[in-house]
Amino acid sequence: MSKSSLRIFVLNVPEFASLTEAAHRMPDCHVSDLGDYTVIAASGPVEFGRRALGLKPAVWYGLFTGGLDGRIESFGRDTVRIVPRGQETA
Amino acid sequence: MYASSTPAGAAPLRLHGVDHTARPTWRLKDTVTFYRDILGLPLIHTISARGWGTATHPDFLHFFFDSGNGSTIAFFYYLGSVEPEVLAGRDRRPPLPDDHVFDATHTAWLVDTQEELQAWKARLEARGVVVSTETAHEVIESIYFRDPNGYFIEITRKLRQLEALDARDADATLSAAIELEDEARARQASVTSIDDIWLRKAEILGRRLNLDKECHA
Repeated sequence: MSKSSLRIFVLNVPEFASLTEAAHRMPDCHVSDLGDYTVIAASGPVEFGRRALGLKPAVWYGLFTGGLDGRIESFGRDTVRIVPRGQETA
Repeated sequence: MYASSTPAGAAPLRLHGVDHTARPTWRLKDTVTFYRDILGLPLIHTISARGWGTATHPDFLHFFFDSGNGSTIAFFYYLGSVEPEVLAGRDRRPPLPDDHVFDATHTAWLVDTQEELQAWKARLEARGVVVSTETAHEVIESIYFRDPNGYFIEITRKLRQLEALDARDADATLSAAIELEDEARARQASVTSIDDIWLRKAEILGRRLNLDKECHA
């Protein structure tokens, strides 16, 4: 893993499970279950869609409450895009 | 964290739920009608006192409605006291937390099932109360409405029980925030973005989980 990777810490609870499941389906994401948290790592930008994750707004807006080492490039009502810190906009 | 003052071998000191919460009201009849007749919470106790309050409102009524499981919601009605302007018109505001100071103080009552939550929404709407749509949070689902004083009220159901990892995560989030606040205060600044807290939390968890050591080994 390079220093320019981004990392998302997802608390292993049902309401955030769809985020982990989505990352498993993304070839650029490395997913590790580390007890309380699943850590999603990627060396490039990552995008998620609220509807695809099946999340209501109240949960969506706390999507990265587990912890996020990355820069949020955009975070709207329906999509979010994050990039590794220090990486320029694609 | 504070050291426990519990003597060795003694039962840990703990609370057993809510007895009552209390708010002031300047709308006696409307408040009784709303809680007793519209919500259907039994009026179970009233204190009427002479000369116990301060000079501007020495006499008052203090009354309690049963909100289940041994809990009550209570009101003070100060005779001769004038409603503060800050309360004017709040009863007609929509059931949204649009005042982040005033509306943050609210009571949330518990029901057991989604059917019960929907039944409360239906009952209140049938009796003329404006009720929010159901909002699903992380671990609870809620409806919101206002009482005749404009106070924000919530009825909620639990979506799941909280577990030990929720408590550990809660501590990690607030530890990150407090760390950042301490650092910001030292340079006369403040923390204004949740992004900064999420990043600090990721750094704290990364160290706890030895992620950097693992990644660069």
